[in-house]
Amino acid sequence: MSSKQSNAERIQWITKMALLLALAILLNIVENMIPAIPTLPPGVKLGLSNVVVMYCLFFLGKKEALMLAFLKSGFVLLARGGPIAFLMSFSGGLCSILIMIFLLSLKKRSVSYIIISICAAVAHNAAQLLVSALLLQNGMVFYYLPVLILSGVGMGFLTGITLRVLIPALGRLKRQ
Amino acid sequence: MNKKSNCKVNQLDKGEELVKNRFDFHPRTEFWLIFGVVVLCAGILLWRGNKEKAAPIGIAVISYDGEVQMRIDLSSEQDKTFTFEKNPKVQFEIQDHAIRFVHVECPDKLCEKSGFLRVENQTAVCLPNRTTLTIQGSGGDIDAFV
Repeated sequence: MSSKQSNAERIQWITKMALLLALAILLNIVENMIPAIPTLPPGVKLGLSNVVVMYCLFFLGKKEALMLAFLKSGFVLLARGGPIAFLMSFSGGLCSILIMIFLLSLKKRSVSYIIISICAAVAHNAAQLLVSALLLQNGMVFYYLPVLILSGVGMGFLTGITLRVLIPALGRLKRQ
Repeated sequence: MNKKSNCKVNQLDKGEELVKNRFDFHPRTEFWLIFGVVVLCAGILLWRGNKEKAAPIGIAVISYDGEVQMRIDLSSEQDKTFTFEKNPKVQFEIQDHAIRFVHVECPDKLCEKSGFLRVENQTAVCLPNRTTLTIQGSGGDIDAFV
């Protein structure tokens, strides 16, 4: 934040970020409470908190989205499983945001944001797979790749639709 | 400062516009690209599933930190539950010539949910415990066990 901004603006920014972070963490927890659907392969998750990250990227900016991903991973570090879980969470979050920024910055065509959401989800899964392969020193984990790409496409589509549905509610953030 | 806050408003409007305008889902290049990838992945999975049905029972390889700890020929092993020296937090169960993770101390138990493995290339991973379980084909390796 630049020093030129007024106190009120700064407080507004902090509050907004805090609210979004709380929302992202809450969605993460809720998602973990949903029992796994037995027919789905292990590790396939909805990625609801990506809805918040996407909102943050579209409405607030790149810096804020990256910060949100980092803070969310910080929560993972504290609450679940320690440094490995943090690394997995952050690598996925970082990659998905970078791919979204790239797709948004394309001048020649405006990529449909459903597509953006799908690409982000696939990038998230691919990054996590890559990190786990490095951590385990074992390339066999790429056996999961087709499953994770398929689930990324499916879940990315669902989170994209979810964002669309949530826009009216989240839009209230801008009036205060 | 006025200018600054205008900027903020514009960013917000831009986001809203972006989401509204980009809701179109016409079959454009990206769509077909993603469709192609989906078909390819589904094809690989189906092909693999078919191949696994016919494949012979393999050899289970347990690795910890990238180093092989145990190799077990599933076709001749009796049913049992066991663990390995370097990480007792992980247990394995062999049943009907198939192997799986059981009673693992980790948060989400993804490794246990992977279920039984039996034929070549099937893999289960416990990332928090840095342990992998893969099945190798019972090719030339078998001689070493006899």
